[in-house]
Amino acid sequence: MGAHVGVDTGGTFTDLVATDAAGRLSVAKTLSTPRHPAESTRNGLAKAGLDGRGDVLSLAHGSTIATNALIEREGATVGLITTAGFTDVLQIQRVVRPHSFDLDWVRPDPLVPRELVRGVAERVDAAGGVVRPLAEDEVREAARELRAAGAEAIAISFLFSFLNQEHERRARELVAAELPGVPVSISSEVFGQWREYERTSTCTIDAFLRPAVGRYADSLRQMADDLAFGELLVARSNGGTQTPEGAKASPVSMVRSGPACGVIASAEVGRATGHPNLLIADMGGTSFDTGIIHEGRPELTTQAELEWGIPIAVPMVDVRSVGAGGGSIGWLDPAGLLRVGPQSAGSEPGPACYGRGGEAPTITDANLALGRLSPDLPLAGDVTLDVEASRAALQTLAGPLGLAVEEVALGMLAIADNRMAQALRLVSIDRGHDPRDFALIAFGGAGPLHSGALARVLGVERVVVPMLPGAFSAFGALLADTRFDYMQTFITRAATAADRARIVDIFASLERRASEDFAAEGVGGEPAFERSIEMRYAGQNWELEVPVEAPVDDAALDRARERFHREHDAQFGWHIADGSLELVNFKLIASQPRSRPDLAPLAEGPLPEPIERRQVRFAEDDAARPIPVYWREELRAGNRVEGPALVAETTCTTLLHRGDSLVVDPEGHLIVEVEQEGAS
Amino acid sequence: MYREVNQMSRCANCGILVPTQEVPFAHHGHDLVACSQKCVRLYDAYRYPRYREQIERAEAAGETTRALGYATAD
Amino acid sequence: MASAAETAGTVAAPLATDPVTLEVVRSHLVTTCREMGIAMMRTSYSPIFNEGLDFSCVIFDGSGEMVAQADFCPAMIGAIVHVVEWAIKEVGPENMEPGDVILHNDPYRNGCHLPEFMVLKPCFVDGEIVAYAANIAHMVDIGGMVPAAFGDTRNIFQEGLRFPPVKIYRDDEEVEDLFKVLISNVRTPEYAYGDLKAMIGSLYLAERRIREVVDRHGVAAFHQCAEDIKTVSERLARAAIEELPDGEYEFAGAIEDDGVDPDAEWTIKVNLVVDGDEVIADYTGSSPQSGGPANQTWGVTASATYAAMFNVFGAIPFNHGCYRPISVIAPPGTFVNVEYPGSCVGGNSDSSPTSVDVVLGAISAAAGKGTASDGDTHGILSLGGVDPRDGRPFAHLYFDGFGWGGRYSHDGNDCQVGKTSNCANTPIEVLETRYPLECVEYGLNTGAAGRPGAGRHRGGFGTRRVLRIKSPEMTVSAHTNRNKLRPWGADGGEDGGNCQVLIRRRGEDEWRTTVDLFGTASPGKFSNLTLHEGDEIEVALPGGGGYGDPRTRDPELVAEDVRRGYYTAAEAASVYAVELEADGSVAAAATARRRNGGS
Repeated sequence: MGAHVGVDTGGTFTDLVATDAAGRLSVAKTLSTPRHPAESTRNGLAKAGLDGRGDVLSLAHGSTIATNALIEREGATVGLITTAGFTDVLQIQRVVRPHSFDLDWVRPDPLVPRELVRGVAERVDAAGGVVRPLAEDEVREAARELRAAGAEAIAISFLFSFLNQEHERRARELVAAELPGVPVSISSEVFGQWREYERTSTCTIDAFLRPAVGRYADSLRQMADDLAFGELLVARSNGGTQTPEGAKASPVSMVRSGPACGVIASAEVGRATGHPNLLIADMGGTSFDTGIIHEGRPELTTQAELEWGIPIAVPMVDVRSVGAGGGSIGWLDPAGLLRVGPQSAGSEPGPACYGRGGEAPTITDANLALGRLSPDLPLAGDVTLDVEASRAALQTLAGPLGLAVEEVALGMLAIADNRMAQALRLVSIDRGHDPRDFALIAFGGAGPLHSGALARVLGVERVVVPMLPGAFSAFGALLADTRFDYMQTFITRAATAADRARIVDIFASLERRASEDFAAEGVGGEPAFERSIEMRYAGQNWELEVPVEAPVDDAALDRARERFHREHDAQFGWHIADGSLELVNFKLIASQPRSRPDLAPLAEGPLPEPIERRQVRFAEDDAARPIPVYWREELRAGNRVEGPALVAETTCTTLLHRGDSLVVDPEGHLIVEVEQEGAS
Repeated sequence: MYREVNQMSRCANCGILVPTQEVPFAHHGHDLVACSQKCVRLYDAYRYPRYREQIERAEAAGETTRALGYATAD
Repeated sequence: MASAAETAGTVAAPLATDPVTLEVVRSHLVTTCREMGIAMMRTSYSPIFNEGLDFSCVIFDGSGEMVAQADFCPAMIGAIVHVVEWAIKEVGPENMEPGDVILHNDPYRNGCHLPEFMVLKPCFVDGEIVAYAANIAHMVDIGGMVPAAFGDTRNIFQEGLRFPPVKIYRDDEEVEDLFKVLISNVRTPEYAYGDLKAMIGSLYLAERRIREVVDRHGVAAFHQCAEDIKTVSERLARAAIEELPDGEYEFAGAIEDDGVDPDAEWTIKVNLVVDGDEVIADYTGSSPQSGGPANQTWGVTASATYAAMFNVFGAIPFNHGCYRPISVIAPPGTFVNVEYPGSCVGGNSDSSPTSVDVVLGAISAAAGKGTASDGDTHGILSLGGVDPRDGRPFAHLYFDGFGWGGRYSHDGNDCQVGKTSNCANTPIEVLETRYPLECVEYGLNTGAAGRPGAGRHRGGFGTRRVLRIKSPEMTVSAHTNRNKLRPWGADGGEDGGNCQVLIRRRGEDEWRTTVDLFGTASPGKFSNLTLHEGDEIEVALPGGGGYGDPRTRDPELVAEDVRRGYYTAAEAASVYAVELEADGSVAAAATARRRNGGS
């Protein structure tokens, strides 16, 4: 009779979503305890009445522990061992800078200072062959020296180790024997792909995170033992889950654990509502986070950065942030133009309407002044909103611009909406997708307030506002499958039978690794496999990923090549039909669905009366006009609401523009058809 | 037909090649060409006063003073 | 800068476009430029495109002025204003049709240098050109006497294929004859074709996005918006110049050895005239044109001037408006405005960093925000031959990072490309996969010859790389600077290091210059030397000049430098007057004594 629980520990609040035996969902919000994530989780369980032994059937945890360690640069002192002659790889970086014109720019310091790097004789060439054997004594000596210099964890990164792991693995054995108990990361395991700077950087980050992620995993396990959980999992950056012990072995996989949960939840809602292609619009207090679900699957990236120029190149959900949230501040630039963000009033002092000392006009103030938020409905817990304070703040812009307060508010929203739309366009277009082929899923405190405007800018016809938009990531943690991603680089034109045999071998060995990992996770049964190949025209340097079916025989490869030509044309507008193709990376996704809680359907019923009619201003009108406000908890499956209207709930408000039409689906998600012309 | 760059005018002020849309102007009894009205103004306000001696010496000697960025309209 | 409110009060004359639409359209156009760049990176063939990002993407409005650009390679951003303008003028908008794409790489026609290929697409709406999408990118091999272009060329004909503005697409189809000419004259035809397709493909993407924004707002409103976008940037640029005290500020620097006359030097001299909200960079007095490849075109000189000015402008949306208050005077026939058919392939790549530093030197005097000279040479090698692994010809352009000069505010950054460029290096694993080369060493250049200048803020370190030839034969050419002249220090800082290009024959111990080994005129600029399997080349790039008296450097920073292996404890004492304890920490009392009491 236990509960399934999903937890998301954000910067301010820890959200907990639990299902009871009837499949009903409940939410508990507690203050976060960033340094001790188990503590706020335990508080949440207590609040939900689930802190007795055996109350929890399964718990999945999304955490910002790794992110915070990186942002604050609080982790292990890392010693790095490289191929001799290449000890400065982290110092050199890629010789570029973030902005073309900035005389005062200072390069960020590498994670490992120069005095903590040692080179050892060894070399693998571009074909993967050993051209210089590993000097084992030098490895031992390097380990001793680095330890003496204060290293608490060791990263090992050799050239071309993505083609031949032998030296890195042997070096790890040697270091482990020399320095018992000191954690070691090797680059070919952390990220087995070419580009030595990116791979080395990622490997050092993995080593850096080992102590923090280790403590986190242990404390969660302790809690699980105390409370006799049935199952305990943590969310990975790739949108899957693993055991805490798995996270300990691969700390860098935790870097985007938190945001990944929102993406997983989006994919799940997309599946349930029949929207395999989704653009994610997660708008909170300080930032707007975007991501993309394509054909039911979150898109991943390997191009994240710790800060500018310091890459973290492991597969993670492609979530990008822009500084546009409810707290983003409107201001006038030196040329007298209206700008919004990226500065944010945050939650302290917060928007002017919070009455906590904030005086700058924010997006939340603009929404309030236009009537789109209710002063009577508490926004963030116990805050009541002061409309007059918002108007006074907006007046500081309205005066110099010679505009009415409402016009400034509309302008701020248009600018912020446009920036968010640009971010959404970039995540989709970077991948060659046309945003118009997608639906928009909006959550976070402010997402559903802006989604109608975003959809119009992007030409998106449908918006989904899911259940629990204010605790959506915790909901996602509840739903995540166990998933691991594998990749092997082998650059080949697959012209010979021997090449093709090697490709078959590569996939077989990736599958073996997956089976071992799933066995180690204690997951029974065989995982499901999906195979893909990243390829390019011989001569290109970046690849396109195309799926390939098993068995990977000549016919399957031919079909994959055909798909590549089509995909290249679709994304970039051209292809070379007789161009010879290089196959570069061979990828395997292994996943196994977790048992999902059965959610209770929403009952049908007549449309409830609006809880009020409120004066709301739209851009196409000259003045505010009264529109109905519905209370979301009173809505029933099958209800239809025509815009203009508002749907309010405790943590969030959904705005319907004129011409929009909302239907409540059987699971309680709101599906909005957006009118494409005219309204704003 | 193709016109090589050495058959094109240079702006008397800034020295840039001018493909088309030259701006002709007269200055101290000479017919000159500039690339823009701004360069006409700067020739008068800056370049000619500053390098007057060199420019006039070169003109008197019948030289084209290309090293001073001075080019006639021919 | 004046306070935002104060400036806003003085310059905020009303614009015709409402501020919201203006910001919406501006960011749409900038995003479009970024999208163009991403598409080029992902689809191009040459590492200099897809690893180096040596390209720029821009949108021009219907009047032929730049309204948006994405931050890729600034050398081109400066020059592209003039390149695109030229192509539009010479071809004439009246001669353009929908479906046309124009190609142009002529350095004399306001270009940078021959390898910089520009493609331009007019975007029509209702029969009218509403905008142009363009990009400019570095083609590795363009024919000519040197694979990958850089050596000691004497004229444009040795450099490679030159295209005045010509149509490379008509009716959305390749102009086949032109492609045939181009492809048959370069050493790596697949790369040239693939790179051009990537460039042109991105123009089509941009055209679609431009149409979207014009459709939404209407042609007239779009034109007005474009004007206002430029006006806003012009106001900001003028406000920034206004902050500089009026006056004339002179500065000069030199380029050594043009590969033809190794003992000569060429002066780049600027007189920076700050007058209210306008500035003139007058290069009169610079040396006559050289017989080698280091000359700059007018466009390169202008571009370097803009790059230096933009460094003091701060974050302004870059478009035509920023250029309006800046005037460049560059006398024809000089080192800074080469005349046909003088060679200029190296001017854009390796002379222009010095030009930027010369202008920054003048601005430093005006603004009091000084910087010493950067290392200012990218160590360019042009490598060509046949890859024994697949029998295919290859051409590779190698460049790397040097140290920045110390600044009034900080040490110079390590390992950077010049302030007129912003290209990335090629990873070793990409390099060795693509070309028959082995990288033997790659690190900071801490050797005595190349070390940065000491100073209160010392210069940054350059890179040092050793490459080994892995094919039976390889052709090697070079264009480097600062083999003789050092990057200057500033405000009492020491001069930076020298560049070195050395060769070690297989089986020999000694590193030798090409003058010594091959009898080249110059150790830094030469063409088509033949190396063989197992031979090695070392390219060691200079550290930047130092800023301020070394004896005023924070002793803790000196201790850190020693810890990192940049100086010995003895050097800390002799150069910086800092005494260290046995454990490497600063001996405060002894240091104070040494600094107060002299050495």
